[in-house]
Amino acid sequence: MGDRAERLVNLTIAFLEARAPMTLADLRRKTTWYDQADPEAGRRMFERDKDALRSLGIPLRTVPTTGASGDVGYILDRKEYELPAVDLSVEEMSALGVALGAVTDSSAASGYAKVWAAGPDPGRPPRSPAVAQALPPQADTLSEAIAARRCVAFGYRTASGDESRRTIDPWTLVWRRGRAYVVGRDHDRDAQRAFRLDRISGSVTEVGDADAFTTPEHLDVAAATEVPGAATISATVVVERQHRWLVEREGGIEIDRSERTVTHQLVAPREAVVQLACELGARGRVIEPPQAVAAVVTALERMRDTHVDGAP
Amino acid sequence: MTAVEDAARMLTLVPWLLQRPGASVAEAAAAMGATPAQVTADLRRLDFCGLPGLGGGDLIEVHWFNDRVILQLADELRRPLRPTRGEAVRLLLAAETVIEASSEPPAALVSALDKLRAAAGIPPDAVHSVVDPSPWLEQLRDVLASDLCIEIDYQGRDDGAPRTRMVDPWRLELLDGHWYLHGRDVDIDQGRVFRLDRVSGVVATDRRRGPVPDVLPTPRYEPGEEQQVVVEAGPGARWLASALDDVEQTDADGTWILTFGTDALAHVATLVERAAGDAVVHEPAELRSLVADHAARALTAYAAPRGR
Repeated sequence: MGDRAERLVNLTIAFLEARAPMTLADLRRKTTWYDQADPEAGRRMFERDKDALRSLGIPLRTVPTTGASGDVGYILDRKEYELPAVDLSVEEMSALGVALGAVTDSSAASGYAKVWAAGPDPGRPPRSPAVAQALPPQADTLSEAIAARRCVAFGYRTASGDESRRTIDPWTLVWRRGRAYVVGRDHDRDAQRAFRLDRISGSVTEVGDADAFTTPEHLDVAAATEVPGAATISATVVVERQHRWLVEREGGIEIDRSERTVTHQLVAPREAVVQLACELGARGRVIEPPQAVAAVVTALERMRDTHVDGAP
Repeated sequence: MTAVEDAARMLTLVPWLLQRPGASVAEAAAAMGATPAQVTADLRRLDFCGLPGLGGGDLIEVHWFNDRVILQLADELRRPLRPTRGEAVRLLLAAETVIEASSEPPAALVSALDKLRAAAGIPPDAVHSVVDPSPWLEQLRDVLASDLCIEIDYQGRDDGAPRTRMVDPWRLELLDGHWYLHGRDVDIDQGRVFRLDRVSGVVATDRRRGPVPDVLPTPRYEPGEEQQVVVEAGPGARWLASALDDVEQTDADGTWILTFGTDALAHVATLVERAAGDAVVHEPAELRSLVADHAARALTAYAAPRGR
């Protein structure tokens, strides 16, 4: 009977070569694979093999047969199975190889191997910036749904920890800040939303028919995946010269300087100003507006009081 | 490797070898992202594949010439299996990110992307990559295109203030949305990685840089003695969990207890300070007093009259 990998390859060949729908009974007649003493055990094994082939993306279709047995038949259309001609040049193959060499994602790598199998050999890769990314498994169902324009539903946990069931029209997947997002229309809120894939609990299910919505043209994906904009304030920050980069990193613009200090104007969410001031500590100081100064002092007092003496 | 993964690789290996008669096991292994031993095992199995019983012709023949291979009678599998939607999207995303991260999109990559998208049936707007720039990016790209050394002002993890270092720049890297510069720290003659959001200045020098190694060395990092840290993070400080490495996280009524090891207490102190009172160190005591002192000194400064 051979090992399972060998059987799965042979089963694929058998389906590809069959001229008519093939049933489990056909396979039992022609091979010994599923011919166990207990027919139920053989059937279960066939079911597992069939699921395995489908998990690889082999488009096995089920069709009713005319036979008296009532068995279902399976067909595998070679045109649906095979990679269509991609017709990449050596340069294109190389460029893709570089892009792939830059990322760490085994699914992307197996996709590349398939394209390579039917394409030219890549040349020596040029240098490119390296990037690291890996889409979580939910991206599989989501990309199917995006391509078919079918709605999806999933459990979602917000930043504040609330869990709820969401149904959306998935428009696009976006990779940003080392995370994957799906952007689409949230049905309950009837508004555009971005969802982090790592906050989806459990699996994503497709619901309803294909072509259920139209994807908006010219979607601004950068704006769609901005961190929700808290209201910003304009603060004035004085910082010792050698630590000025900490303020400039947040977007601070120099407005004045003395021998030892630099004064910056910083437009940022209030929370970010307070965080910066707390990180700066005695190396810098928020001097305007008074409400921000008060918030900084309150935060520093909390920090001091929770850290002085013994364990909390 | 499961049997299913093995089968998937064999379905790709066959068309790859049919197109390249006489390829070596090592070449095939590199293309499949597998080890030569795995490919050899695949080929031994393929020798038993093919379906005389089902009218599919003869068994596949694997002919060996030392470490080179010719496959025959494997025409049933002449074309590779279509990439799954998930594989295609990941490949497209890799290409998109490299395009976004490059100063000038590589033309061959852009056209490869279009062809691939069409072949895989993925709509043009189905996947996007957004690369947030760093203010130093443009300057560093120019420097990389030249062959000059640079001086960068860099805030090291354990330094109290930024320090100027002479660096042979090698390569930019985008990791989890953060930009890094790989290069040789000239003073200590070692490969280092500099995170761009800790860079406070870049100056090109007129000194020629040394050769860029073909394979960038893994930065040598000698960890110091580890200490266990326990931090309580309120809802406003949950970002701490993703800013630290190897964190064990337990949820106590919306407050997260983060447990991890570190050899850089000063770095952890900075993160806790940034949490602006929303994070409380449970242990070690040394870290508690670092944070307490930092807050106390800051409060003294805020209490002092303005302008100095």
